Amino acid sequence: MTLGPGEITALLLVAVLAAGLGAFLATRLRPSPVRAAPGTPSPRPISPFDALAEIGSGLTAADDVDQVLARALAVLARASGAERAALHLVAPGSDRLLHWASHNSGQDAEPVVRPLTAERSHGLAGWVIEHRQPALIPDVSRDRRWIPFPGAADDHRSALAVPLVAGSDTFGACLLLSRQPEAFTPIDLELASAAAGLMACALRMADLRRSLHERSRREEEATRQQQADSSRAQAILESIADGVLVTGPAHHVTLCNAAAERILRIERASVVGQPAAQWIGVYGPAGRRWAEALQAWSRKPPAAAEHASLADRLELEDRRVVEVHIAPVVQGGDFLGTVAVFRDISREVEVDQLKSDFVATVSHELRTPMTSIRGYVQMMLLEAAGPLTDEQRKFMEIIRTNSDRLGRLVSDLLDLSRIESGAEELHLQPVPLLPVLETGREYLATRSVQESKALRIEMEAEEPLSDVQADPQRLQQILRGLLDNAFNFTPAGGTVWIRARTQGGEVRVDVADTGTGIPAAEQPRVFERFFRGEQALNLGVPGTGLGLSIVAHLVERHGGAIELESPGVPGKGTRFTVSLPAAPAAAGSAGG
Amino acid sequence: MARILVAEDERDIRELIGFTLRHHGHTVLTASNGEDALAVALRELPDLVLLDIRMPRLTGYDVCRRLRAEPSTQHIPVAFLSAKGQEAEIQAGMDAGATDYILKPFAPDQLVNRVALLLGLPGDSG
Repeated sequence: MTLGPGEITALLLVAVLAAGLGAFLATRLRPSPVRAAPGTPSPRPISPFDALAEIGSGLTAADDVDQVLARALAVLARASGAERAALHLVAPGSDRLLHWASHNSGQDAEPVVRPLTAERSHGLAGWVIEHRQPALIPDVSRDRRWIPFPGAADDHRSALAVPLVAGSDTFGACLLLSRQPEAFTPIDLELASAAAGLMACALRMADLRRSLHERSRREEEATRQQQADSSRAQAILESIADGVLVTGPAHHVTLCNAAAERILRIERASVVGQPAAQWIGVYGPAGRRWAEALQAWSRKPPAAAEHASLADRLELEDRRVVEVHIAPVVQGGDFLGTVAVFRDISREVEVDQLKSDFVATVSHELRTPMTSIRGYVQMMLLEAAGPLTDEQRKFMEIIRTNSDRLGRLVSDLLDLSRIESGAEELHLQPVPLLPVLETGREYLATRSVQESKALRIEMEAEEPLSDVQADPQRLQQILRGLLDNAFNFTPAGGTVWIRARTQGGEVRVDVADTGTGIPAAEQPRVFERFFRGEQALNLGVPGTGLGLSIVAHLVERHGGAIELESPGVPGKGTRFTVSLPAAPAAAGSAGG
Repeated sequence: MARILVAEDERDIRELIGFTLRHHGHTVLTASNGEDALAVALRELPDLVLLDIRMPRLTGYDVCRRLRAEPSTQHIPVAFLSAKGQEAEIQAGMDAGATDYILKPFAPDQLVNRVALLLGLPGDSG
């Protein structure tokens, strides 16, 4: 139940009316007549005027409705000369009557609350509640509405019952009982009605007060919950290791956590409440891009599905590098502001730089001595320094083979480290595949001749063949890597297949051989750096264990995938399949 | 045959190149740093200059730019000899005004062929 301002006014009105009613009735009852009751005329210990005044004052003074009702009941009993006064209340939200309290004149100091219940329509109380009318019964034995109290001695002779009515609500009934017949007069009836009105007011006020209290309790609870939630959210934000900075719809900073203070070396107090544009300008071009993003998002709030965000790097004055991700906060199409997350990546940037420097240095330092070794060996082999014996020539060949291998190892390693670090940009463009495959076939044929290992090379391309979206040089390198692998592990007389086909937005290239195959246990490790299978070692296959690793990295950087299939049985060979994105459809791409 | 300046700070490589070229009948001048290379080139006006990039005192890039700026040497073909094989590095060499860029490690016979090409001579017959 919610309580609007209107109902609070009603509550006050009820109180005022109640007091007024009390006063009015008291005036009417003031000339308290000398009683000439037919039974035993007993002098009333309290006048109706005083009774109502007492009940009325209790009503406005006491907070506790139970106390008000108990007092009212006692006063009413005294004023009417009833030996017993009882209150039956309609249990809230039910059709039951609750025998709330009774007062036995001269016996009970306090009313007794009995949790006995009866039907709402039960007996005399039920009747007055149902009819919202009082009932004055001179002789209960002749009135069938009278049903004695359960468990109480049935020695009452006359009764007076009034409903507790306030507005449209009926709260219950008040019963006055006497052992004397015809004990109650019409004046008692009026007094009881007035008192019942006051009691109904008290109940109504209690109801309103209860719902008011309930509402404010719920609001308090909600506020407390909100505060707890917000302070928890605040604590979480404060605890995040990344800096968080929130701006509002007008680009003022509304929040800046401790990590943001630390990372950006700013003071919360000096930025919160300030326009973001005022200080992001210090971040140079990145700051400008940031400010532009803020403007663009607020002009046209991006839909949630767009996942709009700005990822950038701030170069700080102290040479630190901070990565920043800024995203708009949009709710129901309204731009509410932005949230920016900062991370100090100076260390990572430095490590990256060190790594590339190291790679460049190693590259140079290793290649220089190798140039000498290979050069002098070749000069010796050309007999530029005099004739060689067969044995000397054989040893020189061994040195050359191994220095060549060392050279390959160095360049593979450098290549891999460049690819891994992403230092080398891919120049993606639509590349017709057939010429690449053709070059690959020629390369393999040349190796076959040079190394005196006869192989059958089969090439199949399923038309139409889409162009591949790739870096042409890197695409060559991928194919060459696979062909080298096939060549190295296929004995003389074997076959190597190069197959290509277009399949659902992808171009798939197979390189299959009739070589030694890869045992199942080794298959997951094939793309690891330096991994060389058992066969490679047994057969003395040349290689660095980097070839397939480079291929896999290159494929990955192209957004493609590589898989292999091998029964792991010598002679059954291996098939590698590379899937690369097809180039966006362009005129005349198919078929080359 | 031709007079060729070999500028290379690594003695072994300098001697290897010198040995190879002499073996093929060329006259070889040598320098072990950038400054010397520039001085020898300006004084001797060789037919071809082979320049290492990473050299003390003056880098190969600088030597090449100075030779290109000098009227007496601007026509002389210059080839870099370098282990720096990345695209951008090669581009930087060509931007400095080089005629060719020979990657280390190289095989001596390759070098001889490239040199012949640069001099406009018929290829090495072996």
